[in-house]
Amino acid sequence: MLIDVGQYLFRVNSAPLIVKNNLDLMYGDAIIKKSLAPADFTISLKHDSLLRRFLKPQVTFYLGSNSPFKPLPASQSYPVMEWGMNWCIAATDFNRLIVHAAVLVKNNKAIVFPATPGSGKSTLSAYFALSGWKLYSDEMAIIDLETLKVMPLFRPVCLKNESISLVKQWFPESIFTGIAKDTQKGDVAHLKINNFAEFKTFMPADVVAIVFPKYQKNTKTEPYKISKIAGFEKLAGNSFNYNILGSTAFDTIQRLIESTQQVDINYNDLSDVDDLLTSEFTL
Amino acid sequence: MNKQTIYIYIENLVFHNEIPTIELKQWEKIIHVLREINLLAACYYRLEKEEKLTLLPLFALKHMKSAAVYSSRQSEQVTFECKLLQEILDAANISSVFLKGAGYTLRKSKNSKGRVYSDIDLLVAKSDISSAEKALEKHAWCTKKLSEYDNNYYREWSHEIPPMFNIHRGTVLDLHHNILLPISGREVNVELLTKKSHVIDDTYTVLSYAATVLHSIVHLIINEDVSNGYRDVLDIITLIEENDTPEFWQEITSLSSTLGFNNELYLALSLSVKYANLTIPENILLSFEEQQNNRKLNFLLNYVYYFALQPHSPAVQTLKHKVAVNIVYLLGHLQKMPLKILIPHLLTKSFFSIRDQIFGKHHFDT
Repeated sequence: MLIDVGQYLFRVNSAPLIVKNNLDLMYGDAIIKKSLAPADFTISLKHDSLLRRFLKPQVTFYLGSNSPFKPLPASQSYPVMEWGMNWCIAATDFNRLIVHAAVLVKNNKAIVFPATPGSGKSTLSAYFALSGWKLYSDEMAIIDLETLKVMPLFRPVCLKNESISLVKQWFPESIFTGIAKDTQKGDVAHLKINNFAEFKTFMPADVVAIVFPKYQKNTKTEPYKISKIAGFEKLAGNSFNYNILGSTAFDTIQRLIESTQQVDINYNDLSDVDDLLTSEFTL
Repeated sequence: MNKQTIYIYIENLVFHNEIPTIELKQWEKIIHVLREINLLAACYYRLEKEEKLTLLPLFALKHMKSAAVYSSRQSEQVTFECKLLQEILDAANISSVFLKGAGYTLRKSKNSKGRVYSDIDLLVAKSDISSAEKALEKHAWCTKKLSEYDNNYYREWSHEIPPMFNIHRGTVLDLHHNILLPISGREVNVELLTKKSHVIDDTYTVLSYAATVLHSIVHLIINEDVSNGYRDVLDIITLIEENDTPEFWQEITSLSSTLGFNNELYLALSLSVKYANLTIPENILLSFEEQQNNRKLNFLLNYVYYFALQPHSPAVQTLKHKVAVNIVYLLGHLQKMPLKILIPHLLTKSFFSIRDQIFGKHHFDT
């Protein structure tokens, strides 16, 4: 099984049936039987041992014959597969700046939402993506070191805890995997956003703003411009490969900060954030 | 492509910088294997030096280049870490020698370009080992928590103390007082090994080139774990090619005779010829007459080590390779420990390994 996630091609060598079914559900037409292009990563998800299959079953993720994580309960199989795929990208691609962030695009202009605590990044991704924005990524902004454009990734959104039922309530037609309970991030479910044919039309986009949303009860949705220095620190702090790329990352983030606006937004209603960003950046 | 074909492409690429003429799709396996054996970045720098990077398809280039970025960052980190270590030990008046990877990086030998490693190896005199450990502990270097069995293994039988790590940066340090286990009965005279050491940047001590190569060889041959064997052979070959002078050959042969490693030197040089057609001076070859007539040694060379050191990746591993790896596992242990210690040791290790196979590796983690 080959999965084309846009920037990378994964070859899935083996995985439990339930994971394969979820992959089918989440990736659909991005799953190809044969490809003329070479795959970047050969991955698998395997049961730990024979006895363990029956007694507290566990699964382990592999890139080739190496496994980056300890085994996890088999009930978390699908999230483990998704997190393993994230790891493959973050741990091996040092040709681009990779920031832990959601990326949403409107009118070919991209807004990067770094994953600061309390940002509600994934809920925001799901809401925006199902309300007319293009989802380039829920998890990582892949930024070209020269053009500073952000690249589209074809991946589902990973929702946690209460946001699962919230999104189901807002968008009753949405396509979800089952809920994996008690993972290290709490209860987790994945949500399909794009269809692959539509995704294929997504082009690398210029970043216009870096937005740090913060969900607060009883607040009016308001933007605050933050200093370039604070923006730099927050962006660098959320970059997966800042310390590997070293001075290249420093230069890239500096250029990115200079060519974009950085805004804090306190919100309690996502539709207000949508309106605000659309008017603020004439999207 | 079958395993043998992939293997041949890998060998030609790694040792002879020959870029395979294959379809784009077939590069998947080549890159996969290079990643598994940690040679993506080394290939990048070797091809760069030969000005052959432009001949690579974009797919291969991007993966090699990315690995090169990572390794160059690691080399910066190691240089920085060595500086701090040197300061700590200088302050405690302890002289030390940087071995293996850190040594290559400090002296900037050709094989250091693109090399990735998991720890820093440092050699101090046996009498200094506990004061070195204490000095390091004062600077945030801690000893890894080990099982009681493993801890005793290090303290009683080993040539190094349990690995230390820096609590801020996670860097791992292996502090040695010898290059071989005392229990093997082949402990070396460290004074002889370090006699001609070099000082780099007026600061760091590293072994002379001949002693470096000999240490690499001893580490490769007298070892139960050969999972990085292919990379180690490349190290040895690259170091020799960089220092192919009569003085080097004179020093390494005399050092190996004095320290008792002629068989290991013969094995490693013969393997280098088999893998990479390394040119070895005629007079050196002649000096190995005894080894050339040693049937057991040649059996080990042709049927055990030749296969065991091939890339450790299921994508190229054949049955011959797997059998050879298992023989080396036993041989490596046998060379390190007398039987009365080895048998209980292997029984303990296999008990835990069987237990882990049944229950899963991390079942008993606390």
